[in-house]
Amino acid sequence: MEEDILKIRDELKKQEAISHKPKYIKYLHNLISRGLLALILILGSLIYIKPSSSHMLLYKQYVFTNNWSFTKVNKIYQKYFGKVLPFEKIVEENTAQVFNEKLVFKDKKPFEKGVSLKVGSSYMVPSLSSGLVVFIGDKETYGKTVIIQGMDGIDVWYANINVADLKLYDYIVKGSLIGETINEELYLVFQKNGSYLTYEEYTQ
Amino acid sequence: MKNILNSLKVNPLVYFLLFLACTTGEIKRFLIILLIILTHEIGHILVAKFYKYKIIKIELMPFGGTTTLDKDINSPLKEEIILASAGVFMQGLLFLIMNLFWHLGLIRDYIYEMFFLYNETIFIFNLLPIIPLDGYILLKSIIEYWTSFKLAFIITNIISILGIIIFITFNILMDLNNILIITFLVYKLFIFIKRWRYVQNRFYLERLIKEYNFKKIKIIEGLKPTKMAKEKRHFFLVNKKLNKEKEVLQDRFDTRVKF
Repeated sequence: MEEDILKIRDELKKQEAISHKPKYIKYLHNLISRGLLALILILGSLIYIKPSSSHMLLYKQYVFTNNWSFTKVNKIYQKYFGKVLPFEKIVEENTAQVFNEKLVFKDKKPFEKGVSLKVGSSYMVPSLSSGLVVFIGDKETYGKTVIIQGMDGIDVWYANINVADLKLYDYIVKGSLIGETINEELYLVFQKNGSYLTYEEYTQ
Repeated sequence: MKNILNSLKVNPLVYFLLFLACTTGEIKRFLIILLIILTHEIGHILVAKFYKYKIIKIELMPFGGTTTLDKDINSPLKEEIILASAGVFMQGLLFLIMNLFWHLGLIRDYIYEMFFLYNETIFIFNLLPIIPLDGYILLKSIIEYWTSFKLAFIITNIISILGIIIFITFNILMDLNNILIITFLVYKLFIFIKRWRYVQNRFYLERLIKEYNFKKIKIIEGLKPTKMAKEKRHFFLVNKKLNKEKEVLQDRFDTRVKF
């Protein structure tokens, strides 16, 4: 009986010795795997771009220009499973809306890919939709811009403004303060899946 | 410190939740919840280290975390209360720090508001008297002080079940997260009830094997170990004779055949 126990113990020790690698080898193994994976992705992208210029344009559009549609994924998830993170319902109810006014303008004329609204100097711009902030920065001919990816899938650009206390990837509710206009003009652009909508189409 | 890192385990569902948070843009909320949960667990770990309990594992789970300890069932009431309230206490400290940062202008309104509400909700959630939350352990410790070990078990289980029912009625919105939380609580309750025999036996074995110096004395009529209570020394009154606790328990665990 005791010999059997000793035999089993020795066998278990042997098995443990085989599967037990020193820690640094495991780390090195992981590092090489990750390095090779990164290399495969880069080379794959290059091989894809090389053949024709249409491939190159497609790549540019999907990788560098388009935003990942966070709100689209969020909306689909919420449709089937409810909110992504728990306790959110209570959070939503308690946070009061920062600023709740409709956008009032005196005059409207087309500007670049969107419209230019005459609103008055230092006008406090409310958000037209709830959504995610996906861009804060400068755009050519527009000036300081904020792009909000709305929950309805439409990107709204608010340009020529001094941005309020917003940061990238904040979720804002409809009516919250985006910023103040620099002079009397507010530029708006409406974008859906890469194509531009007019102000009339958007407000429908 | 190295021991803690070795026993830290991350549930794979957390990675899935991180992926989900990234693709839906809810990354800031996720990180705030993670921060609150980590400080909560660190509270438990620090107290466990202070009382020299053995930490078996620390598991980070989606929307929460569990710290599994190996400690005596007969540990003092004071230690149990401090251990259970350590988590929410750390959340209170975190609130003070974040409040200070907010007043100094280091944190934006948006982030502070989000943090405050999540901290508050997680604080209240942990104080619910449902297995395996901190609130349950606090309630159990207090009830065990007044009644026997077994009766405390029964009472706290009934309160747990009632708590779950109230929780379900409060959360009429049955989204996936609520379903998961409720399933988790029900599962833990079920496991807890199933393990009762082992817990009860360990309670007796600790009394038999270890030396405890409890000041209060309780006299039990008849050979009924189920009437034993925590923090008390027991004498069993049988046939007008007082039997010591250890003798009665020794008898219980004795495997020799008696005639």
